Amino acid sequence: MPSIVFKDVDYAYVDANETFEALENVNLEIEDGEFLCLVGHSGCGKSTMLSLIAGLEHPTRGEVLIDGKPITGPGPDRSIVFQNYSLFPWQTAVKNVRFAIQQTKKGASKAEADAKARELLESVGVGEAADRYPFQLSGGMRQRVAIARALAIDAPTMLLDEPFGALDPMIRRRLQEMLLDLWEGSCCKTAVFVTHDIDEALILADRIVFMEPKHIIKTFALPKDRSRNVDDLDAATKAIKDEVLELFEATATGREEEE
Amino acid sequence: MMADLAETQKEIAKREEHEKHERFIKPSFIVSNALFLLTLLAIYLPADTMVEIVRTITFGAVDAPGGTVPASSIEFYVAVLISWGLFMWRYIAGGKKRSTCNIASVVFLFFLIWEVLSTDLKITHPVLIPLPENVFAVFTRIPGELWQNVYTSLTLLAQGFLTSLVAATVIGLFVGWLPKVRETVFPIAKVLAPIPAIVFTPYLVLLLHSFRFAAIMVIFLGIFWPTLMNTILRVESLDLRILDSAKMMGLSTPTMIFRVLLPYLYPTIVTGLKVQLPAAMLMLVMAEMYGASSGMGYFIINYTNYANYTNVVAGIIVVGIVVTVLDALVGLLIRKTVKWSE
Ligand SMILES: Nc1ncnc2c1ncn2[C@@H]1O[C@H](COP(=O)(O)OP(=O)(O)OP(=O)(O)O)[C@@H](O)[C@H]1O
Ligand SMILES: [Mg+2]
Repeated sequence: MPSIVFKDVDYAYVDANETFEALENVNLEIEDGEFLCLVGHSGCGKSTMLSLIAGLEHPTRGEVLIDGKPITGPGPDRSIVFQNYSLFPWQTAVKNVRFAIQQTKKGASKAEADAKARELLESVGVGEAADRYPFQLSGGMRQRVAIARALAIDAPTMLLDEPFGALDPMIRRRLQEMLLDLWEGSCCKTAVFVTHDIDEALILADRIVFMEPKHIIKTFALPKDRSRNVDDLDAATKAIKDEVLELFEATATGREEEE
Repeated sequence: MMADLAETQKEIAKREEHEKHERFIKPSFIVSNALFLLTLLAIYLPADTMVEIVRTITFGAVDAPGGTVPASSIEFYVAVLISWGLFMWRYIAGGKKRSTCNIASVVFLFFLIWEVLSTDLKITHPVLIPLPENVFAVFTRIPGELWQNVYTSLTLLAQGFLTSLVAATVIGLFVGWLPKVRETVFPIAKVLAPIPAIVFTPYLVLLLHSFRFAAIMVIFLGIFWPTLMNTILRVESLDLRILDSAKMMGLSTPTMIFRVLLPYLYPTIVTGLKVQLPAAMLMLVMAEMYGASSGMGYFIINYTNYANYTNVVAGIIVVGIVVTVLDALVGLLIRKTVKWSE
């Protein structure tokens, strides 16, 4: 039951001769079992936040703690679905998922892992494509295999970077429900979910964090027992939606003036 | 209405059948088979008859004495028939029918011209251009000697090639993985790679006192640098997201190497064979021409020195066959084992 804390975090991407400040003085506390959505314009640093939690990048200042301990590197206690597909191209869909199961749950037999992998692929709707290689799959199918693989790792912390970005609305809806079921059923998995889609955030999140470049500017707590139907929002949730939309617009114009 | 439909379908089927027929028997197919039959005829007809025929065709422009007949034509017949068999097999099984026909035509045309000019008309140099009958007879006259030399060459090739491939892959993995090392090694490799390894041979033979070792060394050097560069570049271009996913699973170093990096590199390695195996064979045959006492290169240079060009040409044909077979095997390996792409 991990809680994640960002403490005065700066992060800069350092290339050969350039440094780019992506995050500046970010403070954020994510509770055990919280479902947190990160929203904001493209390039504001959402993926960077996830990389820091994943341990793939390290803060240039400040620290990121998980259960009170600084994150030192990546590990199977956190699973991640990357914004861009990151499947192993030399393995078929089912082998990708099976590999993740076998590597993170020692002692699972090959047959068990295989059955589990096929079941997961079935649940995200790409069961028929199990024996095909990633290059033979469409973008949305690859994305779903990547989701299945992340679910296979079954980590207490789930990091999802626009996982449903490449999916059509129907499948998207179904996978949102599936994710919610999984998260509620597991009790206390912590999820950090990046999205551009406010409606998606409203359906999923306990809390929405709005970012502008380099900073968090506002967080919105959503009532736990609200209706999670976008077409039928209660007044409080509706107000939050409007405010987030306004923020989106405000930061967009702010940007144009900068340029 | 139904009848109409059935009728149209029948017609379509008929047309398709016709098209298939047409596609099967192409003009180029007829040409290559005609050349094949002409070659058989040229081998079959005695030299005097051939002289007469050619004289008639060319209105007496070509005047050549009919001469001695070669001891046996059987081997040449067999060679031509085998070529034809391979051609038919490729034609029926393969996709590119036109180019198959063209290749076959060139081969039969070559046999035909060779046969007519040397055996029949005797207008080629009697020593420098051996008779095709005699060249192919070498395969039944000294099969043991040929096979022994092929075997020696292949053993050396395998030793040099495999050590080089393994070394270059392991070092390439290591170097590609560490940016600091890569920045030093890559420019060095870039300078050394284009030096033809063959130029070291005479020196290496002197230096190492053993031809075997020198030959292995030459193949090693010839294969090492290009493979190393390929591997480094390939490791460097590994998608970071793939690597990150692997890291998130907390993989151990052996798993990382054997389940992630090597599977990722494998297609580069085997497709590299396609270029490097013939290159290695070339270097070996060249190397064997200095100071070896067996091997195909030795066979060829030795008979060249004795002016036995019949054996020399037979040796050249054997090298061609070996290279072709190796290439076909690599092609098969690629088709059977590389199933993915990016
Ligand atoms: N490897 C990198 N090197 C240099 N700059 C980078 C690198 N990755 C990201 N950035 C920069 O850091 C900033 C934040 O990037 P990040 O990927 O976190 O954005 P994001 O909020 O996830 O955007 P999107 O919604 O488009 O995915 C961007 O301005 C981007 O240009
Ligand atoms: Mg992003």
